[in-house]
Amino acid sequence: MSSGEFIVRHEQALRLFPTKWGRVRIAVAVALVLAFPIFANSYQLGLANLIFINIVAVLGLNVITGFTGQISIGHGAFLGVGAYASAYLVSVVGVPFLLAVPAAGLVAAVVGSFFGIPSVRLKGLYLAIATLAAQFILEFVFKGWTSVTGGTSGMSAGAPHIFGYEIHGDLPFYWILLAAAALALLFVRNLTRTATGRALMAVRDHDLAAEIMGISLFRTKVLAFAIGSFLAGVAGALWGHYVGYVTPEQFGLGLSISLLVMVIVGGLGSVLGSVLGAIFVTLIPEALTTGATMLVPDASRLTDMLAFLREGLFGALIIVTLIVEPAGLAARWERIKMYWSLYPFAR
Amino acid sequence: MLTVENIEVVFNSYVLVLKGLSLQVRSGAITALLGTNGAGKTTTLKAISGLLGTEDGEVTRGRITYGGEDITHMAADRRVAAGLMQVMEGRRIFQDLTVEENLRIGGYLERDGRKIASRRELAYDYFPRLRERRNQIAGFLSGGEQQMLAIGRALMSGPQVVMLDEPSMGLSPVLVQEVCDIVLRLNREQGLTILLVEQNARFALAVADYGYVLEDGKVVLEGAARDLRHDQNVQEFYLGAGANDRGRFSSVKWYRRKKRWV
Amino acid sequence: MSWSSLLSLIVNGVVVGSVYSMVALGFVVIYKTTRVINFAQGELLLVGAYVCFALTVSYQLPFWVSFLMTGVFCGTLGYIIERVVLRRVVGDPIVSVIMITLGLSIVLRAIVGAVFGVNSQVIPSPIPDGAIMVGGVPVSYQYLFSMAFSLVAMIAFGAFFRWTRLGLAMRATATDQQAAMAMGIDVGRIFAVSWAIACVVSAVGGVLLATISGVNLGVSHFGLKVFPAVILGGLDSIVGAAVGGVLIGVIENVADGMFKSLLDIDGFRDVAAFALLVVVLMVRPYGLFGQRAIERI
Repeated sequence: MSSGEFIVRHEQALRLFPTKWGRVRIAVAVALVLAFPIFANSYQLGLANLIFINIVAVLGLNVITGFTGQISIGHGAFLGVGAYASAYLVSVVGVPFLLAVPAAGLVAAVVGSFFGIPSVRLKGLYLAIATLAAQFILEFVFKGWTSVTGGTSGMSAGAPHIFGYEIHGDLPFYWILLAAAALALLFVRNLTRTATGRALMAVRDHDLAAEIMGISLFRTKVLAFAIGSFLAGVAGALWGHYVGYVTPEQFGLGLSISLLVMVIVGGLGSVLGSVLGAIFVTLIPEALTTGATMLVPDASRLTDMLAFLREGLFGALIIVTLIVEPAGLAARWERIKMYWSLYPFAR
Repeated sequence: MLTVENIEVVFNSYVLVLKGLSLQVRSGAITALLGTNGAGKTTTLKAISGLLGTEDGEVTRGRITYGGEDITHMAADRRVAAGLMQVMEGRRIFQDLTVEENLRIGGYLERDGRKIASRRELAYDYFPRLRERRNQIAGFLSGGEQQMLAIGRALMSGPQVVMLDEPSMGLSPVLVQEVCDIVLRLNREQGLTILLVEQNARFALAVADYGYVLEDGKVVLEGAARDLRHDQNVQEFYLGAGANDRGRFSSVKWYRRKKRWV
Repeated sequence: MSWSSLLSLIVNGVVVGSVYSMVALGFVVIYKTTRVINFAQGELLLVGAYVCFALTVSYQLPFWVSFLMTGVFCGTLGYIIERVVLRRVVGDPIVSVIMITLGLSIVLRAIVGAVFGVNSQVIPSPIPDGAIMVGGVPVSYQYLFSMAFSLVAMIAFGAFFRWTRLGLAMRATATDQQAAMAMGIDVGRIFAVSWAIACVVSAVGGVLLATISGVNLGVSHFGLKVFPAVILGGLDSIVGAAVGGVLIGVIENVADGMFKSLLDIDGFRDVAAFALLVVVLMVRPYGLFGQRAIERI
């Protein structure tokens, strides 16, 4: 595909999209996404919206886990922080929607950085557990801080307005969420070619060596958590407004896990992987439900059973995917590209 | 007794490390493998003892036979049971375990309690210092004692062939001499067949009966140890003699060409 | 808060904590030998509890018989899980392996849910009713039994690792896998055995729990409580895991009671351990008893 193009200068390699075919593929993708609402029904639009939200959240987690190599099992709770912050700002304080969302991102960034501080001294299992603790503590705060969060019953996210127009329904949100996802994609893609991005990756590959090269571990790791949770906060805020209501259950451990699944199934440290992972993991449960209802037409009697079946298949799918492709879908995509660019000589 | 025939070893399915290497270890003899860093000495030993799998390496061509049996793809534990034992580079004792527990692990495959006890006594006889420290945590032993423990541990399986990987590494000259003596005694008194891998060619050729010189994954020179000691190339490249007047930069090219024994 | 209610909180905490200890022990065994962080430990407990429940209640087998059969079943299950799933990801990045165990936990929970439903189940206890008084607080025979049983199990495992051939081989594998292989230890088998052991221990914990307070699907969060326990206790030692488990049980029970009676806040139980954990990790990153790992470049 991209063969025959020679990158002979450093600046060329540093471009956002270095190859011509890469730019063509992006253009096609953009065109498809822009045209999607024309032939999609509202169910499909809803799914697309969910995917956009997940892309933003997964990109954030990918900055932490994929780029910087710090495991976070509390990402779902960071989404929650953003969701509550934005809901509070819009519905109680009366901040405009367009300001509230980034502000919520900032709140999440502050909280995320705080829980990222242990990462300076902790690794592997210990860090995984520290972030797990963040998950539980934040969940407890969501439930317990009743005056702000509404406790277990949750709170209304308030109706978002942009320049006086109320945003309501799947189609207007499609554009907003698409814009957010596109911005997040550009931002993270761009991050990979900045000094900061390289610092993150250096820390991932060998933190001590990176430190000797003059990279401050504290600053870099906390920054990674800040960026990651900012994106998480934005995703959470958008999700809250899209659904219209914010409850603690939405941001439980299950969400953190499925975000991790998206990152890893997609491919650690790969922007494309985040997109693929978000699409794959969002669509799989839907596909499983559809498949199950087709197999068992009278599903109402078996709802419990079906829920478990779906859950089990989802888990099994995670396992199988990771066994077959430990480096994620993005690696598989690279291999497919390689195959065709060497065709017919590739194996 | 142990024959390596023309083997190729590949790491990560594309890095070719051994490129058609052959050697023979005669029963009851000490065979030395010499070579610089990265020549493939350790890889050869790991191919023989079956430890390549943990490093994503595999033997892709050729075969290894031991006592007439093809062991090229045999599991590591079955090779140990058959009498092949490797003492790995860098000692690799179990640091959290006591000296005695380390020895017990060495006799893991032996289920006969009396045999284990008698082998343990044998190990303690060869290395009296280990007996003194039998209940100490092995990680606290000195480098020399750890090397002794590693060799003693290897004896516990009742091996026929012991492969020693760099036993002189990080030891003082006095200790190297001591290890050297013990290797010789084990060979003479216990009839152990020994395959010795060394960078310290002086030590290796002092104890060995036969030697192979490896370079870039191939055997480039072989012969009886006393012949190798007097071989001009070995003298120059491994024993450090006679190269003084050729140390100039202008002669580097010649040196490289010469070293390949073309 | 009165002295007697505090004491009963502590007693309850010790009982729950002894179940944590069992699960933590299983976790440590797997982590030490295979370096896998197992997020499915709580689900293994779930499986054990429900299998034992099915055998005693549905098939009307005597408690001890079904207890034994549960042990055998879970041991086999662990062995199979290692062989079929984890064997294939040896050497993959740590995050991928974590995801595999998370996937495993989802699958196991779904299977248990599909087979046994969502209702809480109690295994009828073989221990007669009754209690002795400790400091004015009644402690039931059932509680005493489960504490004693976990204690015996801990000691048995300690002895196993210290003196048996297999236990020694497992410790050697934990220290240096390749060297263990060179000694003729079949490392793959050790991995599988450690999973089998971990499953059995968790199942024992599950059965104890099911006889005390019953089990439902929510009990699988015990698998997460293990983390504070092992961090407090340090990952290196069996004793540490046991102590850490009991400690966590007591701390969360007492803290929960305090919050309820003094501040009128519900649900602190699930957070107490983790809040403490964050503090511990900030002060002593390698746990209370753990050894600091020295890293060389």
